[in-house]
Order: sequence, then C-alpha cells, then structure tokens
Amino acid sequence: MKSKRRFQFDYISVTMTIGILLYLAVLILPLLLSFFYSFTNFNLLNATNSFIGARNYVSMLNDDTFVSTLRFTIGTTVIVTLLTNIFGLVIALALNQTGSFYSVLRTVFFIPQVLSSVVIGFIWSGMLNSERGLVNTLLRQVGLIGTDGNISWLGTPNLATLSVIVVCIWQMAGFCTVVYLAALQGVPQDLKDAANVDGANSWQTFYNVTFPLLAPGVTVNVVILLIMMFKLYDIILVMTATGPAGSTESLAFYVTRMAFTVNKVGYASAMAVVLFIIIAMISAGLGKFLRSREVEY
Amino acid sequence: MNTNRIISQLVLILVTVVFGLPLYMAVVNTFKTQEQILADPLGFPAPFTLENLANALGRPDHLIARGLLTSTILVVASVFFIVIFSSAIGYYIARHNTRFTKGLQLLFLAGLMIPSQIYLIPIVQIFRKFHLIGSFSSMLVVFIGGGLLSFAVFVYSGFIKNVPVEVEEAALIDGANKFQMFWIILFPLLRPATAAVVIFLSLWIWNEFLLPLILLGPGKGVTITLGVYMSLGQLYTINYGQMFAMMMIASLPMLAFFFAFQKEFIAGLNSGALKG
Repeated sequence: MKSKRRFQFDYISVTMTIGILLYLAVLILPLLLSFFYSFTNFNLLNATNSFIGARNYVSMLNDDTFVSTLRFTIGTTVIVTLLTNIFGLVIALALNQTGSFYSVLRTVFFIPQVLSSVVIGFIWSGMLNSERGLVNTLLRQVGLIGTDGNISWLGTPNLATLSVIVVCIWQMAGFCTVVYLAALQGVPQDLKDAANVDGANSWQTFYNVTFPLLAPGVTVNVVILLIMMFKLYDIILVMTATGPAGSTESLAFYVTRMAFTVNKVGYASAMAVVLFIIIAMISAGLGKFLRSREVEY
Repeated sequence: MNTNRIISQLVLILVTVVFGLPLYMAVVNTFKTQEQILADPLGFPAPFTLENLANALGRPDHLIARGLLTSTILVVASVFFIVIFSSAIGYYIARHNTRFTKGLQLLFLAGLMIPSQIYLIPIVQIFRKFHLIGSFSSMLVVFIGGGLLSFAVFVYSGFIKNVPVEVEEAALIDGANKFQMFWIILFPLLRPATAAVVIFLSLWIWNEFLLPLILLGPGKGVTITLGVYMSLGQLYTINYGQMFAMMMIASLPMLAFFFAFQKEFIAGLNSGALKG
C-alpha cells in the first residue's frame, strides 16, 4: 500500500476525485477567495475593487458595530455555553434511570434539537409577545405583573439579550443532556461503589469519581456549543432582527448583513475571516486543552 | 431519604413541564381558532379544527406546499450524493496512511468549523456573475460540496477504520471489482455510520436556513424553512393559529423521522460522530 503507484482508475478513486474536486470548488476555493477579498475594498454598490492591504482589519477596531457585535457574541456564547452545560448535566443526572417515565422526559428535552432555529424563533416570539404572549399572560395570572402590565421582552435591550440567551439554552439543552447521559452510562458502577465503601457521601462521589469521568462529554458539549453560538444567526433574525437598536446583533449577523445587504464584500470577508479564526482557535485550542483533562481509568 | 426522592421527582417533573410548555402550546394551538387561542392559550383544542393546517397548505402563494416539496427533493438528492462521495473518500482515508490522506483530513477538518458566511460571500459573487443565483441545482451543488460533506467523511473514515480489511481482500481475491466489493460486501457493514450520516444530514439540510435564504433569494422557489419565514414575515397582525400550523407542518417530517429512528439518533450523537 505504501509504494508510490500511478493513479488507478477504479470506482473508489474516481468517486473520491469527483467528491474532492466538488469540495475544493464549493468550500476551499471560496475560503481562499474570502481571504483575498478581505484585503480589498470590494464593494458592489461603489463598484470599487482594489487592494488595500490590511486596512479592513484595522477599520474593524474602530468600527463600533463590530466591537458591539463581537461583545454581544462573546457574552452570549460564554453564558449560554456555561448554563446549558450545567443545565444539561443536572438534567442528565436526574434522568439517568431506566424506565419509560424517564425516556418520555428525555424525549421532551431533546425535541427542540429536531426543530429548525426558524421555528424555534417563531415559537418563542409568540411566547414573548408583550400583549398576547403566553409568558406575560401567565405572569399576569399569577399576579407578578399587573393585569394590564406588559413586559416588553423583545423590546428592551437587556431583556431582549436575556430572551435570546434563554432560547439558545432551550434549543441546545437536549444535546448536552444526551451527551452527558451517554457519558454517565460509561461511569463504572464499581468505582462509585468503591467510593461509597470508603465513606464518600453522594456529593463527594459525584465530584471526585463521576465528574472527572464525564470530561469527554464536557469536551464535546463545550466545543460544539461554542461553535454553534459563534454562528448564531437564524434565531436573532426571527426573534429580534438585531433590535432594539442593534443591541442583539451577533457577529455572524453583522457579517451577513454587510456582505449581502450593504454589499461591502471586502469588509464582510475580513470579518468572516476573523470569525473563522476565532472558531478554529476555539475548536483546536480549547478542544486540546479539554481533552488533556480527560482521565483514563 | 424517601421524601427527598419524591421532592426531587416533583422538581424534575416541574422543570420538564416548564421546558415543554412552548412545545405543548405550539401543538394544541395548531388545532384552535384565533379566538380560542387568545381566550385560552393553554386550553385543550375543543372544538378541534384542522382549518389552520388546511389554510397553511392551501395558501394562494403555495409557500408552504412548495417548500415541503423543494425541501424533500433537496434532502433526498443531497444525502444521496453526499453518501456516495463521503463513503468513497472516507474509505480511502481509512485504508491509506500517507501524507496525502493526512492532508485530506486537514482539508476536511476546515469544513467542520467554517462559518457558512465565509464561503457564501465568494460563492454569491461567482453565482451572480454566471447567473446561477436563485437556481435550485446550483444550491444543491453547494449543499453537496459544503461542510456537510466533511462531517460525513469523518463519520465514514472513523467507522471504516474499525472494519477488518480481510473482508475486502477476500472479495477482491474472489474476483470482485472495487465497485462490487464496496457496495455488495463493505457498504452493508457500514450501516451504523450510514444511519448517523443520513439522519443528521437530513435533519440539518431540512432545517437549514441561511444557505437557501442567500442562494435562492425571495420569489425563486423556497425551502420549507424559507417558506415559513417568508409567510410569517408577511403577517401584519399575528394569526397564531396559522403560525403554529405552519411550524407544525415544517417540523412534522423531522419529528416523525426522529421518533422512528430515536435509537440511531442518540447512538449517532454519541458514537463520536460529532467529536471531529
């Protein structure tokens, strides 16, 4: 197998070649083109397209919108990743039982994973509508707000950000839960028994025995959630359309808007490159760090 | 200890109910009239109406009905081609250990973490130049050759590494060609990998929004998510019954798919398929 051979004309090599060429054409070549665009002032409206060096990257630093979208993206990403992991782990611990009761509950938590973000965004927009939404209706019924009280969930910057965070957690909780459930099932019972025999209480057993063994689950959940959140677009578009006053605009949304609505292709490409680098660093760096913490037993 | 257990059970049920409330609301309100929904959003649908579903499917602009058809064709065609390409590439990577395969793996790794915007920006420029924007087949090509292919390649290469090579050698010695060996002997053994690929790709492609939004553009045919987005964007006052009915129609195929293959779904999630 190792010796150098001429290209063999068989099913595998032909199919593989077509597939790779397609991938190069659709993904790799455009990726390189984007890098190239990012050093130009390519703009469809002004019909400019010349090489401007790293100026796009410098303008980002002085672009208030870029800074605020980056801040929004990092903030929501960190909060959602953290809270979804905690929530998913707690639910997984509670659901780590056999029986149809638990499997029904597991299904409830997983269903949002099957729905499209667009559907999720609309369901929650309906829920959070200030006059007719279920959330305010329920709050009125239990008397937390007056009978004519309206909390404008999507109309005030902080509450809109909070709403987006809650919806993202709701969407991804099932994923974390399922991954943690699988990890929990991989924790050998005799290790937990041994800890019990040694006099550990259930918290100590969890903290010292179970939790370290969940590390592979943590790696998957943290990396996948971070990547998901850095690409956040659909839910924002449906729920807030970046409002109020741009307070819920994500970086991915800003890139898309610049590229396809404002038509500043060069600048959008530069920001897309930054987004790509952030995601690549997270997947590679954090993934490596988290994997190094995984223990063998 | 026993009361503790009962309390924790109750808390668990409460959390599940709160978590499931949006889902419950979407389901019951699909079958209610606007008046019923506004009067009692959580009530059971009595009397029961199918009008919302019928209205959504029978819209004069056909956004929902056409969306269903387009998305079905898109999912079937993309998954079909991705399985063919990715299984061959995955097979090659699994069975060779050269600088070339290492390079290939690195190349496909990029596809897993790339934000779609970065390749959509140049693609849109190219498509505009050649008048390919708004065409279903050019969108299909982007779906087949994009990041989803990467995912499938890693699932197949990871899985094939654990399939003993003797199976293939025996088939080749018996006079089978590579095509016969691959599809008759090897492919049936790859069932779990194929299940994971088919399930997740179908789900992701069905629910994908950004690609069709950018590549199809308004008015040039819609996928189901695009159809839902466009029809709901047009409503000036929210007709909740309509809204929930559309979302029900958009979600039902994948929900049915999920309930039919729940085991494979969960197994796929945990097989390391997503650990890239």
